[in-house]
Amino acid sequence: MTRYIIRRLAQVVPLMIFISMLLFAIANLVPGSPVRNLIAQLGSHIRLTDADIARIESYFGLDQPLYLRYFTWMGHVLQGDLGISMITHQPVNELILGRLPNTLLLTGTAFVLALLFAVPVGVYGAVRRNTWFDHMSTAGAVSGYSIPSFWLALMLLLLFAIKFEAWGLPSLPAGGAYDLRGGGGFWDRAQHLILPAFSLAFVQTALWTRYIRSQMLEVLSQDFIRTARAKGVRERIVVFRHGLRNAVLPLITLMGLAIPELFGGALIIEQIYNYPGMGQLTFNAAMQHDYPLIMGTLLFVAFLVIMGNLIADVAYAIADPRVRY
Amino acid sequence: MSRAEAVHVDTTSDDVPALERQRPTRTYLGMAWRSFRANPTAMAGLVVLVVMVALALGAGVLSEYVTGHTTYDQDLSASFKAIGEDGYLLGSDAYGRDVATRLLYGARVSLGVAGLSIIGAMAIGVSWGVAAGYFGGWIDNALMRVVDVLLAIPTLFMLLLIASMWTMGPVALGFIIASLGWQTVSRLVRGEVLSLRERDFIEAARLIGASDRRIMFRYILPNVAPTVIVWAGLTVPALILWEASLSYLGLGIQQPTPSWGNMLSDAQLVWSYSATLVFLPGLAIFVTVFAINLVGNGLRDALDPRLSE
Repeated sequence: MTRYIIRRLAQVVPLMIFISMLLFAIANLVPGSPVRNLIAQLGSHIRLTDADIARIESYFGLDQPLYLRYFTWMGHVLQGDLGISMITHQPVNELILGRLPNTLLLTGTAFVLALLFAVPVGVYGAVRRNTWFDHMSTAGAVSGYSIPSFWLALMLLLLFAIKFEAWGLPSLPAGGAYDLRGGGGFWDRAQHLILPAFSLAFVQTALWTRYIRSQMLEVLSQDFIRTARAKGVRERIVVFRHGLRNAVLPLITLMGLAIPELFGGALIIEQIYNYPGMGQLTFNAAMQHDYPLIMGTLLFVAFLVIMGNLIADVAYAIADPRVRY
Repeated sequence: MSRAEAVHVDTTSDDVPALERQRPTRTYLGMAWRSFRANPTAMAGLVVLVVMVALALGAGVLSEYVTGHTTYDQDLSASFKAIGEDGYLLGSDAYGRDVATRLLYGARVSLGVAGLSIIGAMAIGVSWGVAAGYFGGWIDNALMRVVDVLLAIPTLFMLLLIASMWTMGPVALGFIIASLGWQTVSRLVRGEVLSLRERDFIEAARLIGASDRRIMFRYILPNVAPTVIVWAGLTVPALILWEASLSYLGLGIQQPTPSWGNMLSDAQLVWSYSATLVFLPGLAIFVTVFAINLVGNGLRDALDPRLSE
């Protein structure tokens, strides 16, 4: 098992190298000189002669060929230095680490919410096939993953935060991670987390419910389940210990694949709810063409995704004793 | 819905000669279509989808004769009209533009981009997967490694990066989305090809001297088609949602060209004036995606031979 983990960890390294090359290439495909673009962005009050621009470019090493720039950048990255943000002049590390806990909290809560809802509903739908509950939950699940998450988030925000307050009902806060006027306690954070986490979890819940249901159906029709029932095992044990245990194995892989989805979804959700997380950071960086920050956050998110997949693979290897490693 | 229905004699058509009536279709496609037709939700989805496509294609005609407005004409004195007020079928937005017409043209953009993307993703993904599965060895390894690398970066982040650097029209956007959505189908196709490769009929084809190219096009491709079609039916909704998300974030389709996504972000700015403005474009996206999901599920139930309820 340890050898398997080490082998998987070793695969991460070339993967990260390729990703870094890809990201670097894309970020540097922008036409025109970065300095000129930045000047155009910052305003016409900046007057620099061509000689000045050339000097700045050579100072930052921008006149060097692409591969040399890549190695310089990678050298810094491997030492833990992701550069300085072009707009805020803060180290990218600080910016990312400051936002990371918020996003992890958001995606983690969404993940747990999705799981808590999908498993019971999916299992019950499979066990009680073609009942009213099953049809309702299937229809609900399909419409669930058809809803655009940003629309759902907007509607929820309008309803629970804004309309409720207008109608005098107890309302949820309209944005942010915690109350800026002296909040930060558990309940405060939890309140601010409800709407974003729910919006984020909604689509994944729908997908997982469908998946669990179909997996359970497949497992429950197998012969060993028949044997268990024939032996007189209680139905609950048949369903959960024998059925569900086998059905969740592919679910672990699905959940591993859902991690990039959750991060991507968090990008939009954080924008709508003004939630200070990595998604909002990346979005603002992209809008402002803040290249060090863009590359830093993308590299970091890719790393988190790879780590998530690794954990999913290891969890699968632990859960399924048939896996050869 | 069971397999028995697939060979049920169809007696509902009057103008079919008596002999035909006793001979139900036994072709794979025929049986698949029969199963699909027997699936009520799938057919409902198909109807809605056809209506949507018809509306999108007929946007020009409809805007001339039905709604009476164009997409871009602003009339600031007529802003925020309610539904049905003053000849505005679904109301008007902040600039007085007719929402119904913009939804129709937005349908063109959203469906068009999605259609282009799925074709592009299919083209890239299928050829990639067939090449990897058929040739095997180091080619397979290399090709699949590239797929792994591309899959590690969350798609929306990549889209954000690319779209923030270049402003692009619908066609370019379609290609970009295609370039981020082909990896799954390439994996699926590769798996199929790996198992197909060992089948006897492929060996027979090789024995009679068929070239690699002929084998791939004539024998392998038609056999991976059902998997690809099922994948397409389940992926188009995701592509529509990606385009809508990008346009919503302000990156994809730019104003004044209407896309359901950017209509939503516009409406968000003025939500206090009109909540229906926020509701309608999202509803359009939802209905379309829902219909396509139903069709996709129906396709999977009809085409996937491994499925047996």
